[in-house]
Amino acid sequence: MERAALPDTPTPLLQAANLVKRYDSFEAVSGVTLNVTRGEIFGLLGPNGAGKTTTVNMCVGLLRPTAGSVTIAGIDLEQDPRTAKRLIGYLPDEPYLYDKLTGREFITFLAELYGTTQDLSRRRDELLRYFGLLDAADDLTAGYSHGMKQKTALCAMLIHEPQILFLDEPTGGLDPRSARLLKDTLRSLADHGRGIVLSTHILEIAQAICDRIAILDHGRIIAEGSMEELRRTAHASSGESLEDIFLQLTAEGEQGAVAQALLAE
Amino acid sequence: MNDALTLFRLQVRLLLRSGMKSGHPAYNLRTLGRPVFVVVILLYLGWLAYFLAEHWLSGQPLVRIIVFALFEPLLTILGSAVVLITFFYSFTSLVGTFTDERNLHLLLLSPVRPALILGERILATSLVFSTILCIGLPALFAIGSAVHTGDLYVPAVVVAIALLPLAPVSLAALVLVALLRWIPPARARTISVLVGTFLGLAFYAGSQLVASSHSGGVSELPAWLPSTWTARLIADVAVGQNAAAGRDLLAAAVLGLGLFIIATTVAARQFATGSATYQEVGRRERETASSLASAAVSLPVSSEAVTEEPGTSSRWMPLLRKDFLVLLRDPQYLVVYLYPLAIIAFNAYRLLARAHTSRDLALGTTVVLLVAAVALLVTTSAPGIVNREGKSLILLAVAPIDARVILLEKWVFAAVPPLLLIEAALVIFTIILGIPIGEAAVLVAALAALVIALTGVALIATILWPKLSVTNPRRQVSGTAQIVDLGASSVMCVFAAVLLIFGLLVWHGSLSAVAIIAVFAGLIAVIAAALLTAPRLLDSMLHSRKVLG
Repeated sequence: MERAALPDTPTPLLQAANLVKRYDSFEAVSGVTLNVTRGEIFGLLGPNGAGKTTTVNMCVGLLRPTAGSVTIAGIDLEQDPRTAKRLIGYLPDEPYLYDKLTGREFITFLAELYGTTQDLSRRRDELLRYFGLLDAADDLTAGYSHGMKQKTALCAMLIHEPQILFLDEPTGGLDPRSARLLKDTLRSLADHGRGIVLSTHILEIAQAICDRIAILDHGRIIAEGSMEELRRTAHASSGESLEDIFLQLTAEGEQGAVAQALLAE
Repeated sequence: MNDALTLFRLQVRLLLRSGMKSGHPAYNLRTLGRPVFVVVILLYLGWLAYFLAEHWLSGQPLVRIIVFALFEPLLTILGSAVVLITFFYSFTSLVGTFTDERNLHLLLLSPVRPALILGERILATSLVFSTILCIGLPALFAIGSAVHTGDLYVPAVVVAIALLPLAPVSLAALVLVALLRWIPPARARTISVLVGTFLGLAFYAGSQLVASSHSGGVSELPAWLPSTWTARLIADVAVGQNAAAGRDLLAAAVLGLGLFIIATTVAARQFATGSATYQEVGRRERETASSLASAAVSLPVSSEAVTEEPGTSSRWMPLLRKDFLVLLRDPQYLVVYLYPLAIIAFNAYRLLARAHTSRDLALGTTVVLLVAAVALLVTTSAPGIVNREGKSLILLAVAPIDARVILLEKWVFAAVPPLLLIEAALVIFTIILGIPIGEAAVLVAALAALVIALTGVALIATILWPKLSVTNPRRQVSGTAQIVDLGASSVMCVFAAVLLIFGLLVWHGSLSAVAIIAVFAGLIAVIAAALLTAPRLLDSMLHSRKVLG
């Protein structure tokens, strides 16, 4: 058996270059380029229908881009999808579990699909304990609440130790305590060298934990950078929150002018 | 009255928009064109079937006499079987309506009377079955026209079709509501399907035994059996016994409406008082304990990747194990195998119990029964295999696993249970009937090829027209996939059965060999075509909006 080889070089964990997704005449994503490095939490923000989920879906291999390429730790997702996918962890906006499997069985199933057999029982139980699911681990997931399902999906996402994680609206349905646990988890994962792409509507979370943020609108990145860089881009004062910047950049009518100003910079 | 109109308008609107995926719900030629086209085609096919059947019957006086003589016994047996099948399928249909449809809960919160809401749901389910039964209208009208029945015949057929499902649907609703009182919604589907199956099989076996004891020759069901009343209404009108028909109509209407009113009243009382169960309370306690426990431990993160390149068998096994666990834990899927098999087994027993059956007749019967069993088993079980993944198919799409591996696992998982059941049945038939080993070997191989080919066709149909909605467990297969699969499977089964019977019984020498070779060549061609196309189709589906919704 051959181990998944990870390059030690500072190659970005995610390199998405000029991604385009077209459905007939409608262009959902228009030339999006993203780079996420080790230890970085990257926020993907945007109004409804901006193209966040489509971008994430292309990055995890769920959708084939019309144009552009995605590499995961230097491995081309199109050329070598099996190797690249073993490095990816993906949490969809809805926790899709199998109703007739227990939480423990579901995590084991996913682990085996990804070839994670080494020390599986211990790792699985540690994750279950960490997310407070150990007591319910042998119950069918059909009886879980939405929050429990979300946490089970998180365990399943982490069981194969992915290097880059994509989370689409991960806090939906979580109570405040669980949402806090998730934020701490993401920070801890980043501290351990994982790259994280977080697609969310909740700007407070993005502001609190993201190292860099990209704002998408109408399928294009209209601003990207750290909070300070975003403030400069939007000509905002230091006291203005991400919410102010977001609303300013994505406001209908003014958007074209702002985007043009940004492109001119 | 206003409430009823509001509900009616809602259902009509939902029906008209059922084919729409997104966008503005404007009724234009494009949105209405497809359903109108389908209805026109169906009406044309119905008229064509009626015309051909009527024309054929009119030119066959002897057949007409036989049809007329056997009309009542055959119709009552068929009607009774339809009642039992409707009863069985009502459970899966109603359990989805009562436990999964969110708009039911929304409507129950409104000031509309619960009895009206529940009554409308039960009646709608009954009407769906009546619509399906319209398939039999061309044949019934053709027979009526050929044997010159009276003016009341057509209205009687229409009333009977409308009335027939009401009693079994209402009875199933009544049993289901009683069950839902004691079991949580999460278990409702499993337990109700089990109960429905056993009740359905018990009714079926009971009516068949009653028919056997009631008459010596042709099976005839007694007039007091409620499941025969609607069919008897048609038969009585056909022979001009209008008084008897009136009694049948009255009995069927009283039974159907009576059960409907009782079921509606009981369901309204139960649902109006809330259907929350202990499950939620249990969950609450568990969550509180879990949240407290989570604070103390730290996140287990390894500094290196722990995935390894799995071998071929390692990629199959998790999928197979998962599917097997789901199968074992959801009796609804097991019942899919059990139900057709029980009906076939019962008929086989009755046919084989006749000691004077000749060897050729016995072998011919065996071929027909086993091919019919293959068709029933595969067309009811295989189309749901991929759809059953639901939106969880996303997990497989992002996992490091080829579509080819997923497809082959699904194929194996769909084909093996019918294959084992059919081959076991063939071994039993071979021993009881003393079928020569050579002919038995041909049948073993041909049935295996038929199962594999039918499964491949079913998988392709469901990949092309998937139905991955997890919110509607009532219909696991899209209508188009179901029709395509049934059509293709019927052609393949008729092809295999006819050639096998001719090859093994009618023709001899080289002609027999040609027939047998043709069976295998045809089926292997289908398998090869499925092997070539299905993995690519699945790969394309896994990376399309069909999975993402």
